[in-house]
Order: sequence, then structure tokens, then C-alpha cells
Amino acid sequence: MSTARAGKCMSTARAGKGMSTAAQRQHHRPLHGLWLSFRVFLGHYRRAPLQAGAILLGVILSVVLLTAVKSINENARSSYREATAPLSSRAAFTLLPAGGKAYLDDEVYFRLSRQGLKLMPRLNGVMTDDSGRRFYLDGIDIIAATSIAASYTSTSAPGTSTPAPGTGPASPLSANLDLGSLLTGAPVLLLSQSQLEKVSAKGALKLKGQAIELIGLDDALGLGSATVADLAFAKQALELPHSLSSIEVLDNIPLETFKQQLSAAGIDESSLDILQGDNGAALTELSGSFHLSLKAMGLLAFVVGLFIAYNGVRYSLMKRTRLLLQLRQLGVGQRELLGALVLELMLMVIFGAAIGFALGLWLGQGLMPLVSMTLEQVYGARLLPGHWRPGWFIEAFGLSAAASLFACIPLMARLVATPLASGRHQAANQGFDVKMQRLQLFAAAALLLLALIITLFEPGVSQYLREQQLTRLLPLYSLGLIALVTLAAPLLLPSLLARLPALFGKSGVIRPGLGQYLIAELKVLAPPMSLAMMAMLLALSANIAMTTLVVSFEGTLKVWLNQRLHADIYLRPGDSHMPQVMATLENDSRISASYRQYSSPALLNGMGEQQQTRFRLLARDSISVRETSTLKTFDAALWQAMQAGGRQILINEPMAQKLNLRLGQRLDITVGGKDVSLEVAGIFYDHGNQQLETLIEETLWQQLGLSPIPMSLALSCNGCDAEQLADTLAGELELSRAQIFSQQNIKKIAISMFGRTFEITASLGTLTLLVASIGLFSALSMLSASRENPLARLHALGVSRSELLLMSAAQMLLMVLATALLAIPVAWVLGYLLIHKVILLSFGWSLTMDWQWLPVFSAVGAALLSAALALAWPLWRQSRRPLIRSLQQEAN
Amino acid sequence: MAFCKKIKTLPLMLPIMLLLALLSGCGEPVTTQTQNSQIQDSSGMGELMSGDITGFDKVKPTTALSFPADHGPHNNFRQEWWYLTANLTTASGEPLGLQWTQFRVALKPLNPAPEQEPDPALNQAAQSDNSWQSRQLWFAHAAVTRKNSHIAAERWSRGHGALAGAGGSPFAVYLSDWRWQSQTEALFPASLAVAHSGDKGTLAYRLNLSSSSPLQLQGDKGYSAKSADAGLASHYYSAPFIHIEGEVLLDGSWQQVRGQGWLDREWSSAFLGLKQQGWDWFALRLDDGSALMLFALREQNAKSFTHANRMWPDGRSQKLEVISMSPSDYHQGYPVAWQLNLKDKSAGENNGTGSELNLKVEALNPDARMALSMQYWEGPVRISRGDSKSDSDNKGDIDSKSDSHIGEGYMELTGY
Repeated sequence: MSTARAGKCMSTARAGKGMSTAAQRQHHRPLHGLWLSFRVFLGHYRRAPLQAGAILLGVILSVVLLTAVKSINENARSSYREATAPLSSRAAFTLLPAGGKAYLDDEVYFRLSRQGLKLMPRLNGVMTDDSGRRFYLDGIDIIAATSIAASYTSTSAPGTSTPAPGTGPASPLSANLDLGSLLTGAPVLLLSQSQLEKVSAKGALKLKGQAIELIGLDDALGLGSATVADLAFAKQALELPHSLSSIEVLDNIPLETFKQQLSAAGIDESSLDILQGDNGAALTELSGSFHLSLKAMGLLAFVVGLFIAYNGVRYSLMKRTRLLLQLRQLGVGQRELLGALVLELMLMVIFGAAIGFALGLWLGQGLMPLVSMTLEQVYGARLLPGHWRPGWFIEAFGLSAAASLFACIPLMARLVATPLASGRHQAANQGFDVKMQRLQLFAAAALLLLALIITLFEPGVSQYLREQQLTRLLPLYSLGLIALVTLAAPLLLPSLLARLPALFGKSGVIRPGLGQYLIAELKVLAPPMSLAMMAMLLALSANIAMTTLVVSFEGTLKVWLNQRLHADIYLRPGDSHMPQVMATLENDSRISASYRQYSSPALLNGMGEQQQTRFRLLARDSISVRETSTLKTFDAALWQAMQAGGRQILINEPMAQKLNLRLGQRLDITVGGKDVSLEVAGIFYDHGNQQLETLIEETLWQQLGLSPIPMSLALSCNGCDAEQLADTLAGELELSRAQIFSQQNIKKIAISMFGRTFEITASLGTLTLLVASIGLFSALSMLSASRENPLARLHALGVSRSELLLMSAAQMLLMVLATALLAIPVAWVLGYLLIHKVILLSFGWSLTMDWQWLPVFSAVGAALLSAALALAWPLWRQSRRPLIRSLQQEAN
Repeated sequence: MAFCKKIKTLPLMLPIMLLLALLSGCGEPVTTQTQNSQIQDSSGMGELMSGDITGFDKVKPTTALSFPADHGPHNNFRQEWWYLTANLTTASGEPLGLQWTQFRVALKPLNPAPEQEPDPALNQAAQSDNSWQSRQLWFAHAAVTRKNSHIAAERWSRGHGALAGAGGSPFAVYLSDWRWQSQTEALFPASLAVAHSGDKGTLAYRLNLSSSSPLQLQGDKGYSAKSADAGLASHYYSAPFIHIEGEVLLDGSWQQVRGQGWLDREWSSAFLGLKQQGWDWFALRLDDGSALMLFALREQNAKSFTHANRMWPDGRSQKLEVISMSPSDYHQGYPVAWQLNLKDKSAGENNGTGSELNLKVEALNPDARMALSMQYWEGPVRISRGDSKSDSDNKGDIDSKSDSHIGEGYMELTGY
């Protein structure tokens, strides 16, 4: 080292006293100070690993749920693109029977197959085993399915390489399938491995005394929760030997070419309803709001996790206040110090994000069955297994790095910039806190005002969006509203907590002495606690709101089902059986009344985003129309005209919402090859149904010349045992139990099905609460740890340990309770918005809000529990070491 | 060819075996590895080929073939195929090869052990051709090979009279829109139409086939042994002299083609010995108007089992002895060029003249791998005069100058 350099060092050194040669050496290389500080910090964390742990925990938790949700959403979207049905690739067209028929004849499939088309025939239906368990059976041609998966054309031409052996796609061929049994119609069902475990846990299956063999296929084949059988068995089990439900055309050909092939095969085009594949676009759009809400949950958890990390950083900085000062006094520059702190933070973020990412992928995998259940029940979509992409990690890391830098740099900068002389001054900090609180209060007020304005203008805006055909923005818009409230509520909290001591102080209930100390200390504790409390507030209110939504949905559904299902027994014997069944039942004395329902696909012209919108036209006899239509609104005059046999129609709530249809509007409809114009007489509730459906009277159906054979019959029997009569009728009419249901049966299925609809949302809510509890625990325990010195001082002054414990407990519980108290109204508002805005706008169902206290108390209980744990631990630790060491602890 | 096919069945049968394994439910998950390694350790394969054939019909030397009945399927034999190869020339003189094969595999025997089939009603229904319940699995392969390209495609179907099958009057062999359609109960005259378009190319041809030569029964009156101890065998007959005219879709346009084809019919329930690795099979047409069927079943650590039969359009045939078969060139592990030396079994004793047949066989396109769900090599070959094995100057039946073209045909290589 040259003397010139040394001199420069000396002259730039701020404090000559205590300056070491090491510090001199560092100072002439700018990065040296940074490096030195960084090494000092490492030493600090080695002594206090808990502080590093808290920061890491926060980063990990914030990345876990974010990644899990990301992987779920991305998987689902790629599944929509790649496949819509199990064991088949994407269909270019799906052929369904037209004109109100339930099934296609096998002959259609044979003829098309002779055209050389790549086809997938399907027969679907409900199969009931001997013990009454019901399965929605997906009957397919297993050979068509496996060869579609395996078939490829091989070519070799100059410059192209032939595929290496064994590179074919995963297909059921590589699974352990007993094709011999499948093709000969042995009772074999194929399930995904996970589904198999579920089903077989409930005992063996039997059909007509014959044991049904269950075979589990790799989840990678994307069966989801489907129960697949070869047509050989499906046709027996469903008793439909010559029928198919649908045929998928897998060749990628234009519609015109396909129509030519239809006519070449001698098939009447009008006997088929040809659905064009859309690459999963419809599904992606349909389920958009669902994925958005998952994403919102993920982001919420991310924010909560960041709170934890921020809190950890804050605590560790506080613990290092003196250390930082010493480093500065040794001549380390402010920038270098800040650089070292940032470097330290970034390392933690990288490390935490990596762990969180891995855990998140694992969690996403675990949650997948719940998600696929929801997607299948609500949207009829099936999930394929997916693969994570490195991009997700970059995204998760980038987001956490940016957010933590944004949150922590001001904190670090403030600390680093603290004037050397003024060492440790609480006053400055407190002034800052007060300023902060005012700012937060102001922001909260502004956000709430904005939310209020949006709510007030919502009908107008959503009307406008619908008119502009921007309906897909509606869920986004309503979630935006929720975001405003979610942001505003935590910002209110610090002010509330700060006012808490004053509230008690003025009330006069507090006795002088320790009681007043308690209140006084609360003032100091509240600001550092408010961040953790904010996270808790968010998680609590989200959890309660979500539970309220689920409870409300179930309640509404039950009420609605009771109205909707007026008969005791429902029959669906199929087109060929129906006339015979109707004739047999006509004079049956056990039956007091019978009702009919017809169904046909139809097209609505000139409404909505597309030129033509596909929907289902149902018809019921007029008693059923009157008794089972749970109308949301109706036009009295039109409703009367409809009952008198006029050309009116009822539409379901999702259809009215999506297409922005109003009472009295005329709908131009194409059904069964005819055009007809009908007036909207009413809008009926259709909870749990995402499809567009309409209802007309039987007489109008007949006038339109549609299929005279009802799709289903409903029977009433005065006060009979419906379940027993259904059994008897099944025998007499030679129907399988898959074709005849009692009312209780249907209700049970419907409720259990929709119970699962929100399972994933509820589980994410619980996970968020869990994250927040961990956050609260870490914040509280760090806070308690920092209070070892004052508590030890009190103890030394003669306050007993139990009194200390009581005092601390009172302080913490006061804060937690105050938070919970704020969480309840916030949860109510969130629940209200979820039910009346998000669900209505994205699903088209209006639900009755059902507020229950039990989930509220259990969520608050969870928060209190984690608070109690966090409190007990530092006190317990303190009681186990010498008082003097606690007294030596660096006080805040 | 049929022979080869049989052997082919071995490698071919690997995928089929996958299927069979599936059928019999005995499979560990099978992945396509190199066939050799599979054969070496494949107890599964051995079981399949020699194992559970209870309930299937067996090939017997005493069975006399009868036509047209034997053109149709033999549902209670385990495997069966209709196998056409053709060497054709376009109007502009470009040589090309075509292949069409339809396979049938019985997944379950007609009369299995009683405990295997609990519901007799099911089994009965499964015997009908027009039921969704079937014991049969059908699949078909097709390929078009040119000097610089080779396109292959496959189709699968369950057994169902409306989807895939063979037989009838007039006779037909069909699977979706691929169809051999005869005009009568006899095989010829007939038409064959195949079309496939996939991601990697389009393959299509429409052919008219006729033959006035009698059918040739291979082996001993159609009983074709597949191993030295005659434990394995098939029923096998051929139509080696088929005149073909038609059109093939080449580079997007239909082109007229004409040439010669060869049909093999073969069925069996057990083909392969445990030690047999695969086969090399040749269907050769020589310029002197004769045709030569030659196959070798390769065995581990043992001499291959070979068989050769020379046939003439008037129905005559003559068994030849295979003196040697040696590969002279390889492509991606497949021996795509051969030196074949054969000898008339009776020649030595009779007149000692022209008893040897020495042929050099080379692939038109060495890259004729069938990269389908079963992998094998199948493609057209050119034949030229080969080197004599013996020192004496060869004055074979084939009058030839050195390296001159003396015929064409097809080659199939499996188990590599």
C-alpha cells in the first residue's frame, strides 16, 4: 500500500478514533466496504439464525401459493387447448343428435368410419351398481382411443430424420390394459390411479351380481375423475346396444369438407348437430373468472407472505441498529452499507423463492384433484397433467425481489442515513409512524370512496360493458372492486391500533401502576405490530368471506332444488323406450300425475358476441312450467299469454346475464331446421348450471313440430315411498336404475356435486389463513423477543413472571381482537361483493347471502391461538435463562 | 414373405406383443427398446409366443387348405395377415415400392378355460362378427417407398363387421377406408385402395390387381415349418405373380403406375421360439419369370432356420437349399444389402448343371424403416448377379453379365 493511498484513506475517514488498518485497506477499493459489511451481516445471522429464518419464511410462503396457483391455472389452460375429453385428442367437430333426440345410431359411426375419418365414438350415461352407487360412465372405443394416441405417419426423406424407437406418445398401449377383457365386454372400468383409490376405498363394485374390475391408469393419461369403459361393456351397462351419445371427429378438416364426407357417406346433415371445436377458447373464457379468483387468492397469499418477510427485515434491522452505526463509524459509506443490505436481502429472496417455488409446485400438484373436480363439475373441462416452466420461477422470483426491494429499501435507507450523532432516537421513528398512519388512513379513505363510487355506478357500467360485447371484462371489473376493498381495509388498521391505548386510557378502567404501564407500552408496540396485523386482517376476512360464499351457495341451491323438483320420480328411458313406457304408465293407479320434458339444441340468432349462440331449448307441460320455474323476474302479461299457449319463452339467469336479455325482448331462434321468433316472458333461476337454457310450453313445442317423444318423464305418487316405487318401476319397465331416479336421489347428487364446486376456493382460503397465522406468530415472537430487556427490567423491579405473562397476554390479545373486530365487517363486505358481484357477473347465478357466525369464530380462534403460541414461547425462553442476559439484550 | 412376416411377427409382434401382453394382462409396462434386448430377456415374449395358447387352434401338417374358404379369417388362430408388396414403375420410369398389410390378432381364444369367462352370454356375443363385443383386434400397415423417400402409415380397429374384417362374397379385406375388394369369392381380380393423410405426409394409392397363376402353397402343402424341430409352424400360401395397374399419389399428384405384386397369406397361433431373434425375408422376382421366396429365422448362438422356394407362373415350384446369406451393407443397424447363395437341392445328383443361384440384393431406399407403433424394415430391392460361392464358374439359370439387373422384389427385416 502506498503512502499516498494511505493518506487519502485517512483524510476520507470520518472517524479517526478506532480506525483499524483493515478499514483503511477496505476503503480504497469501493466494493470493499460492501463486502466487509456483508460479512459482518453474515456473522450477525449466524448468531441470530431466527431472524434470517423469519425473512426466509416470509419469502417462501409468499412464493408457495403464488406458484401453486400459477401451475394450476397454466395447467388448466393448456388442458383446454390440448384436450376436452379423456383419451382423445382435440376434436375438430363433435356430432350430436339433432331435433331433440338423445342418441345417435351406431350406423352413423360405421358410415363415417368407412370414409376414413379419425373418429372417437362415445356413449355416456349414469350407471348404478348393485349397491346403488352411481357412476357417470364414459363409454369409448378403446381401440380408437389407443390408436389415436399411438398413431402417426412416419416418413423419411432427405434431410428429415425418422423418429427414434420408443419416442411415441404415452398411450394406453403402454399401460397394463387387458384388451381381451375390454373388447369382449367384460365388466372392466378404467379410472385414473387417484380416482381408483377413492372408489375402491368404498368397497367392491358389482353389476347384476358380477364383480366389476377396476383398472387404474396413469394420471398422465388425463382421465381426471372420469370413469371410462369400452363400448362393449358401456353398451350393456347402459342398456343401449345400438346407440351412441356423440361422435368426435379428430381430423383437422374444414367444415365444408366434412359436410361433403357426410353426404358421401349417405348421412343426412340435418339429423346431426355439428359442434365445431374451438381450441378450447370457449372453455378458457368460460372458466376465466374461476382462474382469476384463484389468481387473486394467490396474490393475496403473496402479499401476506411479503408482510412476513418485511416484518422480518424490519426486526433484523432494528436488532442491528447499533451494528450499522458502528460500521458507519468505522468508515463504511452509506451506499456500501445499503448495497450490503440489498445484497443480503436478494440472497434471501433467491434462496427463499427457490424453496417456495419447489414447495409451490408440490402444493399445486396436491390441489390439482380439487381443481379438476371443480372444473369438471362446473365447466365440463378435464385436466391433463402439466409441466412447469422455468419462466414461472423467473416470474415468482422477479415479483418477490421487486416487492421486497420496494418495501425494504426506504426502511434501510432511513436507517443507514440516521445521523451518526443521534444514535438511537425513538422520537424520530415515532414521528415517522404517525406520519405513515395519516398517509395510510388517507389512502384507505380514498380507496373506499373509489369502491363506493364503483358500486354505485356498477349497474350502469356493467350494462355498458354488455352492450359493447365486453362481457368478459365483467368478472375483472368486479374483482377490481374486491381488490379496492382488500387494499383499503388493512390500511385502516394501523390507525385503529394506534387509537386503542388512548381508548383504554380515557375510559378510566385501568388502574394506575402496571395497568398504565401496559397501556403506555401498547402505544410503542402497536406500530411495529400493525404490519403483521394487516396480513392477519386480510387472511381472516378472505377466509370468512369465502366460507360465507360457500354456505350461501349451498343454502340457495337447497331451496331452489326443493322448488325445482316437484315430482317424486324422474324417468329417462331413451327415445326408443319412451312411447312404450308412457303407454304402460298411463293408467297406472300408483301414479297420481305425470309430467313431460322435451329437449333440443337450438340456435339464437343475432345476439351476443357471435352471429349465432348455441343454447338448449326445453319444453315442459304447463303444470310443470308453472310449478317448477323459480322465476327471478317476469312480465305478468307475457307470462299469462305464455300459459294461454302464446309464443313466449322463459330464459335462465345465466343466459339473461351473458347475452344481456330483457323481458319482452324478441328472440330469433332456429330449432329443428325451423326459424321462430319468441318473446321473453320471464327469467328463471338456474343455480349450478353454466349452460344457456330456455323453457317453452309443451303446446308450443308441438306446434313447432319438434320431436314428439319426451326426453324425460316426472311422476308423482301421493305420499308413496319414491325410492321403493322407483325400484319396482325399474323392474316392471325393464329400465336400468341409471334411467330412473327418485327426487331425494337427485337432490343428493346435486348438492354433493356443487359442494365440491367451491372446495378449491375454500381450501385456498384456509391455506391463506394458515400463512397469515404463521406470519402473526413470527411477528409476535420477534416482537416479544425484542422486549426481553424491558420485561427483564420489570422482573428485576419485582413484577412476578405470572403478572408479566398476564400483561403481555392482555396486550397481544387486545391487538388481535381489535384486528378480528375490523376483519368481521370487512369480511361481510367482501362476502357481499363476492356473492352479488363476482358470482352473479361471472356465473350468472344470484345467491341469497347467508352469514354464519361459526366460521367467523373459528377463524378468529385460529388467529388467537397463533397469537397465544407466539406469546408463550419467548416468555418461556426467558424464564429459562439468567435475568442478567435478558437485561443485556439490546433494547429497542 | 409370409414366412418373413411370421418372423416379422416376432418383431412386429413386439408391438403386437405389447397388445397381447395387454390382452393377457401379464405385462409389466413394456417400452419399445431394441428388439434384441427384448428378445433376450423377454420371458414375456416367450410366454406369449409359446405360452398361453390354450384354447387357440393349432397349425397341423394334416390340415388341407381349401379355397375360397381359407382366404377369409381363421378367428381362432392367434395371428393372421394379408400381405401385399409390389414393385411398380411410374409412366416416367421411376421405380417405387408399395406395401399393404392387414393383420388380425385374436385377443382371447374361443374356448378358454371355463373359469376365465364367467359369463357365457358375453362370450357368445363376442363370437359374432357384428357385435361391439369382440375377441378380434385388426390393424393395417401401408407404405410407399421411393428412392429418396419412405412413407408409412397404420390403422387400428376393434373387431366389428362394420369397421374391419375379411371374407364375404365378393371377397374383401377392409379396415376403415382401406380396402381390398375382389370381384368374386376368389382373390383376383381385385382392387385395393389405401389413403392416409397425417402430420408428416400423405400416402394414397388405388390399384387394380389381377393374376392368372395358380396359388402357391408354401412349405408342405401350405404347412410352413418355422423351426428345425418343426415345433413352430404356420399355414402359408402365396400369390407371387400379380399384375398391377393403378395410380399412386406422388408429390401431390396422381401418377399412373404398373408392375408386379406378391400376396402372402399366413396364419398361426405360435410362431416364435424363445431363442429366435427376428427374421430376414425376401420375395424376389427374377427376370427369367420365376419367383423366389426365402426366409431366415435368426437364432441366438445357433444357425438360422432357413427356407427357400422357387416358383414359376405355371404353378411349378422347387425347394432350394440356402448355402449362405451374408449382409454386405448396413443402414441404421439394418442389413440393407445381401449376398445370397442358394443351391438346387436335387441338382447335384441330377445333371450338375446350373444348380447354383447367386444373387446380390440391394435396397432401393436403405431408409425404409417402418417407424410405426411396431418397428421393422420393409422395402423394395433390386437384384443383380452375385458372386459365386464355389470356385467353379457359375452358369446359373440366370443368364447374366456382371452386375447386370436380373430382377426386383421386396425385403423385410425384423428384430434388429
